[in-house]
Amino acid sequence: ELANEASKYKPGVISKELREALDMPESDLSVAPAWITIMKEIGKPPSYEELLIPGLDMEYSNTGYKDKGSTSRAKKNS
Amino acid sequence: QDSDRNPNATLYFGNIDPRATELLMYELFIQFGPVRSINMPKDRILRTHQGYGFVEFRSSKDAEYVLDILRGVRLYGKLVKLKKVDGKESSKRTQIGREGR
Repeated sequence: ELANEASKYKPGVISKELREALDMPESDLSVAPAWITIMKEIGKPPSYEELLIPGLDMEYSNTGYKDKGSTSRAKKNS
Repeated sequence: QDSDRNPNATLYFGNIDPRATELLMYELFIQFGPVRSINMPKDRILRTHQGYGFVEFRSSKDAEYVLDILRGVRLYGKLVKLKKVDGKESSKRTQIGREGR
């Protein structure tokens, strides 16, 4: 049951619930979580080094970490 | 399945507010590495968690990184406690909540 519900969560996308728990503005999704600043100092998560992280590699948005190849795909969609 | 858990990639987390669910903790941890398993022991009667749990990442590198990046993070105003679960501790996991060693 957890696995099922968990599948809707993606790294780089922060839910309203988590924003609230972190005392982040819930409605202003342009505000990055505090750990983005720490990532700038200590580097990306070891398992996500190959991904593009909003706030580090591009302007912050609450849209998830991206595959390096997916930016071209994403452009097609927009 | 519990015995498959890699203690070097597992962290204990504590001081968790009752409002923070297992799913919320999962959502937090996947920001920093893929989570293989997460477990917050529940009170059998109240079915609520007891303010702590264990999260297993894919590798010990992920776990180390989480210790670094989540230092000082608060959920619902409460400072999240994190520590490594080494091999010795995980074999007597029932005692893990004890302070000091």
